[in-house]
Amino acid sequence: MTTVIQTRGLVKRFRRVTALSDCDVTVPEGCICALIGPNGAGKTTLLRLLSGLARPTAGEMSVLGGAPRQDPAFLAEVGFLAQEIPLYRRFTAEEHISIGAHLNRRWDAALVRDRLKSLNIPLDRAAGSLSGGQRAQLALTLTLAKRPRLVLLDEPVAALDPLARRHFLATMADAVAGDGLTVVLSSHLVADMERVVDHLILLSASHVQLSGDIDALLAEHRVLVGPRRDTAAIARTHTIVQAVHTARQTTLLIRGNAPVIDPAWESSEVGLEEMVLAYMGQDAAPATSQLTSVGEDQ
Amino acid sequence: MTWLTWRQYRAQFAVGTAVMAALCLLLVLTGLEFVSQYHTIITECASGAHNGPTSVNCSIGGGLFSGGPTAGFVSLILLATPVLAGLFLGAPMVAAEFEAGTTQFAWMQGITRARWFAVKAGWLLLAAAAWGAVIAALTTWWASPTNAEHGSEFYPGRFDVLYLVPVAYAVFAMALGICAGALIRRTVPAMAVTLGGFIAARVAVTLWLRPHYLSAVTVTRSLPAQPQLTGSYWLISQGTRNPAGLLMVGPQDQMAAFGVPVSSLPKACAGLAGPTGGLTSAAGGLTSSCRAALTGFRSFITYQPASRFWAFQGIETGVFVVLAAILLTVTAVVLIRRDA
Repeated sequence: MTTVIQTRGLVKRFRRVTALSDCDVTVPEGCICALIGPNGAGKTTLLRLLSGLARPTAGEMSVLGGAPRQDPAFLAEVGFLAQEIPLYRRFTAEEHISIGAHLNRRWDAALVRDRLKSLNIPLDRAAGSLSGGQRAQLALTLTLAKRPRLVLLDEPVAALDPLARRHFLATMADAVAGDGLTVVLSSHLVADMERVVDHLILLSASHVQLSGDIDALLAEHRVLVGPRRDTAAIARTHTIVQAVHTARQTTLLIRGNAPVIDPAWESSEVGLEEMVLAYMGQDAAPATSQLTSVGEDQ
Repeated sequence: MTWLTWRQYRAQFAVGTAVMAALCLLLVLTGLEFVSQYHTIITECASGAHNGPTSVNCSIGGGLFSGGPTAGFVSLILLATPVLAGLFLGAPMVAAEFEAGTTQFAWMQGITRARWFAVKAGWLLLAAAAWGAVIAALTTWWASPTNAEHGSEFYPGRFDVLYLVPVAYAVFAMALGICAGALIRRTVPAMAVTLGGFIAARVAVTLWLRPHYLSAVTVTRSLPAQPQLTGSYWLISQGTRNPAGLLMVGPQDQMAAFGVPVSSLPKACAGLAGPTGGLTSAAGGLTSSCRAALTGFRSFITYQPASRFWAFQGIETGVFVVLAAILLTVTAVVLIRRDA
């Protein structure tokens, strides 16, 4: 499988703050990759580095076979949709289509018109007067109209209600199915994405915590529940991602394919959201981490 | 990109045209009035019938026609006009896009930032030049009666609104606005910096640079003779130096003849000080001892000859065009290198 994105030791520092440190990720071609992390984890920074809008402080990256750069050939292959859904407020959808037609060598105006028509979004109204959902749909459609090979979407569904989210993700999934497009989309919630994504990058506190194919990741994680006891034996054969102790019980999330021999542990599969929250909790204060997990059990 | 630029600025273009039309109307109306007033005065003077309501001084160079308060007021407006395009079009060019986040849209289309900047800035600079040129052409016509009489084209305040330089000022203001907007990334502060920077550059160049474009001519005469200049010129300084070479300075009412303060007059010339200590006519009645005592004093005039007017227009235009080019280069480098 071809690799679309590969980064090694990527670092981005703003004056005093390190937004991203030592970031190694790989995204294969044709997948939909969720970039998950709490607010301020560095998701936007990573996407902006990949799009070439920002430059890394250190490290290397290869996007579609080269470093992101200001060059028509690169720009034609990458679509980026920023979190604030930037559109010209006073321009209509039709005028946005014209901008795209003037600024891009490859431009599928018919695609935008058809899609907007099917979504009942008027072509002749100023973008500023459209609803949040309509603006997001318009911006996504414009991003896709370039017919890029890689699409980077920064929190595209954050501003949308649940129904609009579903519409939006469906639009995107359609597009990917069509032509081997690779999509990276960020969110602080995994639940929205679960149905459409097949790849995961988990960012927390400016570090990559987890990265890979979702099925493979779920297969190598397990939840163990047993009487309260020391976990040293398990720690020798597996990585303990999270351990939650109550008065009588110990619950572990472990990573590793080695068998668990001790019959006192009851082993079960882990859900995507549960796994993601466990990794996010690693960086939080212990009390918070416990609260998160207790909430999870309900 | 040209299409996008036009679409983004067509509203401002309409407003700019309207402002320009209003300004043209003002200039045409006051200008026509000047022409008729000027011709009336010339005719009256020629026929010797200059007994109008105001006493008219018919000697050329003696305040025959200055345009009055109207001219002063309109001149102030004309000094300010070149900066307007830079303020309202230049400063928002990049800053407003950053504020709206649309740089992230525009810079992810299939053209490079360098191209985006070059086309957009290019059209705006052209618009600024056109703005400056229309105003300058009209002003040059508007000011012709006063110039014909005063020969004062070279003086600060006049020089600055005529012929070439307003075009250069407008182009500079546009470049300054674009640069400030790209560096600050917020429209209103960028506009403030543009206005402040424009005033600072204009004042600094006028006061400290322009008098030195070509080294000024100084004419010196030994007292009681004094340098006489004819025709028009730009006076840089004039005064009298004592035999030790010191410039004679003092309050106006303490000045005796020849620009020498009463306190500095040689003893032999005590009679020159008038009864009130004010100016006394330096006419013929000098005693020979006073005449001898004055020979060490030298009166001078430093000036730029009128023949240099076009050279100065050219140099000043060059100065502001070069400043604009520097600002645009800085902007291009910053836009390409800095994170969007």
